[in-house]
Amino acid sequence: MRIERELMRGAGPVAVLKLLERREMYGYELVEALARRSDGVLAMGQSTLYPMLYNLEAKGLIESFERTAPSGRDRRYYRITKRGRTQLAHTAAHWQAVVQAMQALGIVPGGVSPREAGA
Amino acid sequence: MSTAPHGEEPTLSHFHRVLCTPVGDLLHGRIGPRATIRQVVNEAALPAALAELVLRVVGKTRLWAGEKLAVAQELVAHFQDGLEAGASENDLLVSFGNAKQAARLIRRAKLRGRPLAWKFVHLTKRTVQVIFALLLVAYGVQAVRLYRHSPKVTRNYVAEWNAPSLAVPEAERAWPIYRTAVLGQHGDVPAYEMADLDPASPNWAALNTYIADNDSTLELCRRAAAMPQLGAVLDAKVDSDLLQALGFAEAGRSSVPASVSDNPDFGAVQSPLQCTALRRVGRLLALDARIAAVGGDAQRTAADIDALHGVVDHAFQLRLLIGDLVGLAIGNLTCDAVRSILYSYPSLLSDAALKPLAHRLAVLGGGPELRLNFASEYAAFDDTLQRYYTDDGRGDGLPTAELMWKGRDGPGDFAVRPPIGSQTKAGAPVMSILLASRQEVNAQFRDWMARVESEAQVPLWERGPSEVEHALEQLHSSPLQKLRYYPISLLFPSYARCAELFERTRQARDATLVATALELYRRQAGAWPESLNDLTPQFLPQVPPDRYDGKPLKYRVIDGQPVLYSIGVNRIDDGGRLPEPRKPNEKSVERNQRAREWLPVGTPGLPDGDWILWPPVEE
Repeated sequence: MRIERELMRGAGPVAVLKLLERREMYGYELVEALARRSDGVLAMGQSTLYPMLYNLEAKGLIESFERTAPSGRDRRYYRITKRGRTQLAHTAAHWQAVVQAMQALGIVPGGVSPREAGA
Repeated sequence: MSTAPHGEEPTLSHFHRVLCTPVGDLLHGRIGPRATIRQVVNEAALPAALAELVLRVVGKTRLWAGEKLAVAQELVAHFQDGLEAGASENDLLVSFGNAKQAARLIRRAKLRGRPLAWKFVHLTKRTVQVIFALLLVAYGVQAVRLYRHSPKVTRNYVAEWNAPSLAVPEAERAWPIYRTAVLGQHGDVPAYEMADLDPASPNWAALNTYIADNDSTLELCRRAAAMPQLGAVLDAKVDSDLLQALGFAEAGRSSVPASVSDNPDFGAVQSPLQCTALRRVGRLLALDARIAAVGGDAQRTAADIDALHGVVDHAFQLRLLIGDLVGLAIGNLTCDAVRSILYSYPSLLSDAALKPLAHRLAVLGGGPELRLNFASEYAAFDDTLQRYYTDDGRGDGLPTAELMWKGRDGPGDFAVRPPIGSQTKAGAPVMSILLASRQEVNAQFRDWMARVESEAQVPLWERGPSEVEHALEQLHSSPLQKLRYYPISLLFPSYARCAELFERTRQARDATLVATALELYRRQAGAWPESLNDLTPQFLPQVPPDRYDGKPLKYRVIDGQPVLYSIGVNRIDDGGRLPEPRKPNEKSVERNQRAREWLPVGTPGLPDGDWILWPPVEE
């Protein structure tokens, strides 16, 4: 299932930051990882990914560098910055709240409403 | 961007950041990126479709060369990684998405990452572009407003002005006779001094010859002056004969329409011709009256003085402010002549001649109260408004381009240069933004004119510095205000001198009435009165006021001779003496003039002494 563009615009950057939290990655690797780990839900074309990476870099949330791969080719790698980690934590909390709210409303299964939880 | 061996943490130096800018391109010796990018793509040996896609996306980004190269390298690496991972060429093409959208998003993202200095310059450039575009739009709108509308000239002010004169039957009009008199005059009246009016003077013979040559002209002048109506009209046609007789050049009149029915501009046909002709007639009659007095010809003297009164009345009948001023000037001339004759030839005019003369003097200019007529100023201004402003039907409108090309010819400060030359039409929309609307200009004009009329009625003793004069000076000293109210700066003269001339003439008229009364008293009593109060009510209804303090005119008998005077501009009674000379051999006439010229109270260096009204101060 492919999600809508507006939702992707919010979910894509946080997903990329999350992937880069563990280790630096290059573009194709990110595309593959996103598709694989989200069961294709967050799969995005390069026409979306690279502008997103450049935006995150412009905001100082990630930074890029070139590294020579074992194959001998130069690749551009991306890694998360300190500011990026802070942003990731902040955004993740927001997503958590959204998911809880969705669960409470019964849109997303597996949760209880805060009122029910309190009772 | 930096290059680091696999597994090492690279750092991004400022130098490497610079390499991603056009400076970096220049440092690499690259003028354009196309060859290098193509080289990178070619060396990658990508399938043709993928290579083409990279080139297309990179080309559409319109980024700096270094930025394009970086994007190209990344996309190439991406496709190489994909091919190595087993993806097909088609899979990669499909998964890439829309090339055009990718280029647009990449460009937007890359621009966000550019240096702050570039962003500042870019923002400034965009701001300037936006402002310029807005100005261009405003200019276009204003140009359309300016050139789309044209004024509606509906009223023929000249025809309206001429209507009362044209209602006078031709046989009863004095103007044609004056015109004939001036056309037949043998040259202008020669300059002369009082000393020349003496048979012993070397100039006496020449003056008499001039008068003898103009005998028939004088007769015509007296005949014209005796007619009740002037009947002169403002004429658009050039009166070449009269122009020549008065010594005017014809230049500058060709742009005026040839006929009143063509609705000529009121201001343009407000010809000074009639005024100049009447003034010349006045000077001729005054000279003849004095020469006749020297010769003891009482009848001719009285006829000339009577004719002078007629000329004054006729000048006021022009109903132009300039006509009123000429009337005042001829009135002064008349009063000077009467006072001079009364003093030098006291027994020349009989009581029977003096009394009607005094009665006529009392209504100099058509009534007991002299009054300046400003109606022509309003007409000239209103005609200008209808010619140079559009009319929205509610009294408002916009200035037209023609207004900005309108100037005024004339000598010295009288000439006004138009705001822009007639060739610079492109500047007109810009200038028009600065100009006030028809309603604003009209309101300003009427406000000032109301104050001018009010100030003109204030007697000299209550007068202070003119508010309108001050406002007018401020208008002329501010280029922006001068432009904003351009019609006013073009058409609004200094009226302060008009009001002063008006007051001076009233004083001259009153002094002449008192001098006449003094002479009549002397004839009856055999001596000069002790006080002016002795003249009332038999010879004078009441003692007229001194225009400098509002109290009765001052009078003394000094060495057996009467002295009638005003305290003058220093507002102090100096006992009937002239101001002290300011330079050796300063003429008495000049000293007397200094004492009469109005200046505000408290002005430093006011001339001492009084303004002597009678006996005449003559060299």
